[in-house]
Amino acid sequence: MLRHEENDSTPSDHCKLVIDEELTIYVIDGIKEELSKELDIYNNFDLNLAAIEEFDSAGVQLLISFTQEIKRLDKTFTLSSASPVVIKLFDTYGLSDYFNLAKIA
Amino acid sequence: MTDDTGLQVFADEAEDLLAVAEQALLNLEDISDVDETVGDLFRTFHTIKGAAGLFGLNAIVDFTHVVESLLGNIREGVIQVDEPMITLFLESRDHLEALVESTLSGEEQLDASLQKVDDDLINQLNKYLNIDSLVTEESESASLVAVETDTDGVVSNNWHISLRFGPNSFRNGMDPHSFIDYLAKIGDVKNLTLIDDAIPCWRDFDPESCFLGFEIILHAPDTNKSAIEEVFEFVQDDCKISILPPHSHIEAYIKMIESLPEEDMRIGDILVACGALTESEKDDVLNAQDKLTDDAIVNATDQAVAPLGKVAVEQNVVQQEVVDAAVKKQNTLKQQRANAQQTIRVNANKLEDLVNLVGELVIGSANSELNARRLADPQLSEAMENLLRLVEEVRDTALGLRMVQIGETFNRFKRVVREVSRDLGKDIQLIISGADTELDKTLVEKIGDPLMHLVRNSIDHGIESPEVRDALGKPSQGTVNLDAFHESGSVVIQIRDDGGGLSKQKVLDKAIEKGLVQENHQLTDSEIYRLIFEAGFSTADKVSNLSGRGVGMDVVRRNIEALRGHVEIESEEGKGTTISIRLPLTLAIIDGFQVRVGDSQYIVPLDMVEECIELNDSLRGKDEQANYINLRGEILPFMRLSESFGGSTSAEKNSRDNIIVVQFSGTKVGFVVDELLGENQTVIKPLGKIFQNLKGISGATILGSGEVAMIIDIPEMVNKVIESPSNSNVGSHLIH
Repeated sequence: MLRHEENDSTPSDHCKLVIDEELTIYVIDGIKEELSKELDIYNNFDLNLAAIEEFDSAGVQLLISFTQEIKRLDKTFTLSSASPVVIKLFDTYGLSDYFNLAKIA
Repeated sequence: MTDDTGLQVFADEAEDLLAVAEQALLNLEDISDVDETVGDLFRTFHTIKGAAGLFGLNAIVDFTHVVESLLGNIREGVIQVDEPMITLFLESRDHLEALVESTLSGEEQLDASLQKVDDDLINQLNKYLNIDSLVTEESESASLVAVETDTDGVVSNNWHISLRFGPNSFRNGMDPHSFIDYLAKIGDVKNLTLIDDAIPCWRDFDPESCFLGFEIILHAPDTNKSAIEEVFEFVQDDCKISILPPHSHIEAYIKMIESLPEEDMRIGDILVACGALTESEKDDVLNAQDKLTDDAIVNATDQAVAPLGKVAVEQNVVQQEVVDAAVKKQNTLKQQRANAQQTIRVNANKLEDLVNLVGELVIGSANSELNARRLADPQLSEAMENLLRLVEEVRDTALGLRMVQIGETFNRFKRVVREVSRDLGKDIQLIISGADTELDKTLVEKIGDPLMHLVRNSIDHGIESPEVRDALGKPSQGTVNLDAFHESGSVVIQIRDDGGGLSKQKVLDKAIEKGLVQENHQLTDSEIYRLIFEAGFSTADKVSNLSGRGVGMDVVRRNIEALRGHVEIESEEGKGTTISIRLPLTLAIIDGFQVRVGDSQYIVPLDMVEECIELNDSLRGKDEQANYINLRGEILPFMRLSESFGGSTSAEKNSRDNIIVVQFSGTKVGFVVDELLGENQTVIKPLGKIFQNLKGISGATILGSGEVAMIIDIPEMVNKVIESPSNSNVGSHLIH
């Protein structure tokens, strides 16, 4: 489930997003829909995945696609935090650099 | 089915399969479509292994397994086939044949000599398999210093696995990462590159579909392809998987790259980035790619690209005719396979019995016909007529059952030529034509040895060494032709070489030295050549272990004559030699022409009868005693059969003489007989041992009346006519 971080005090074109519990094939459709809505509103994104307990390749794929779209629209996107399951899968796929995971660790 | 008959079936099948394997192995040397052939071979050996496994024949299973492994590696492009390897495979094939035979004799344990061959071959085969793993170890250190050790394959000593997951993978519960985790259990994943090129742009992106691809470098020296394939077993329907073994050929990479959806350049870079290819290997691959897509001519000077000409052809870009030829070949192979499936195995003895019975039937029906004619009952005659026609058809069909194509016998010689010519350091090709010519199975079996001898002779004595041939301005590769064709009721098998030919003088000198001919004897060319078929004759200056011991050609001739065949030789010094063997189509029943000489009846094989004419004064000319006639301007020598076979001619002085004109291998002669009796189905009965040396008679038959009639040996008689002293002048004109 995608939600805005509580106490979001960033400027108006900036948003801090949080995905709780899971980012898997089972919820992926809903998450994409909500992300699309946010894309229409904001320019700069901050995503917090620290609370993710279940993560799969569909989630990875969504994040990759989202990153590509951000680049295309000339917007910004940072992964501010990631849970161990996310880090592990990124690691397996060799995507740590792609998502700048080193900074998080 | 008892175990024994089961084993027999296995042995028969194995024999067939091994024959196929031999053929394929020999083909491997001279065809461009190696992949297909290796695939066939692999399946052939695999089938043998499987069948042997059913019977618990562990020796065969173990041995075949090693052969199969090596073939598997070849098929996957890990190892290139070379000549010694083919020889090794051929030896392995022979050994398997021996193994199959030894199991048939019921021996549980291999005897010592077989065991030794077994060990030897397995060692040699393993060497090929091990060399591969050896290189793997070596290049591990070598790749550190970036030195290419293996010019055939790429430097990388790791497996390369390329995956493109299908869109439904996620929905089907297949998560790529579980496979990759599993892969890590069988080897060390050195590098994994995620390919995200296929992910559509955000708006069109369906997050439930999978668009991921992976290029994986796996270090797993101890595993094999099937183990890796097993990992992806569950997704293989939905996922594009290429697995390239360590040191795969560049061509294998080209194929893989082509099969991938991404742009070639991009894949090339990815492969370099993940360490599958070096920068220069990538360039090779991509260059080759350009060549292919641009339909460019392969640049022969560009070493890296040269082997790709083959790929170009395979890719249907360069030479359409080559592709067509390959397709045609494939189709004929398929056709042959289809034909093979339509046959049933019949015990040879049963066929033998059938033909014998048909022979009796023919004799019986001739007897009935005789009686029917005597009774002169129109209805009986008509019924008899019908019956005779049917008997004739039955006869032809029964004999047809025993007809086999000579091709199989011919194909055996491919190997002989290959091996013998190599032993002798000669380069010889064997060209076979008329392989589909059919003749009686018994004949095919019995002609094998004499043919073998003649072919060896051609290779050994006929064809010169490459140096000599070069000096003579001949192509350095010698040619031996094996032809078979039908000619007037007989089958002709020709062995033709383009070697040195026979030296008439040398033959003659030798014959005089051996006391075979008198020094002042005048001989025609063919008579001189025929001398080499005399016992104890050999002109070879040096005796090799193949031939040249002077115990061959006379045996060859005797064997052929025992089949009612005939052998002749033509040669031109410096140009080559042609040996022609003429064999009757069948040994059992022939169409004969019945004649009477004196009180006895004789049969002349109908195929050789040209015509029958009345011998009158206008033909004979003025000379009463002359033994030739003028047949429409041709000189036709003739002889009275009564002179040879006896019988009173004086009593019938006033009756008219008939002459039957026969032709044998281009020579026509006439035989004077007392009466022409007409056609007759002749069941050939062999003569007993006592009569074997009887000249001019090749067999006997039983007539409808129960009388015995002799079958005239036409070749022998034709020679007799030509060689008769009073005919020597005429004869010499008639010999070609």
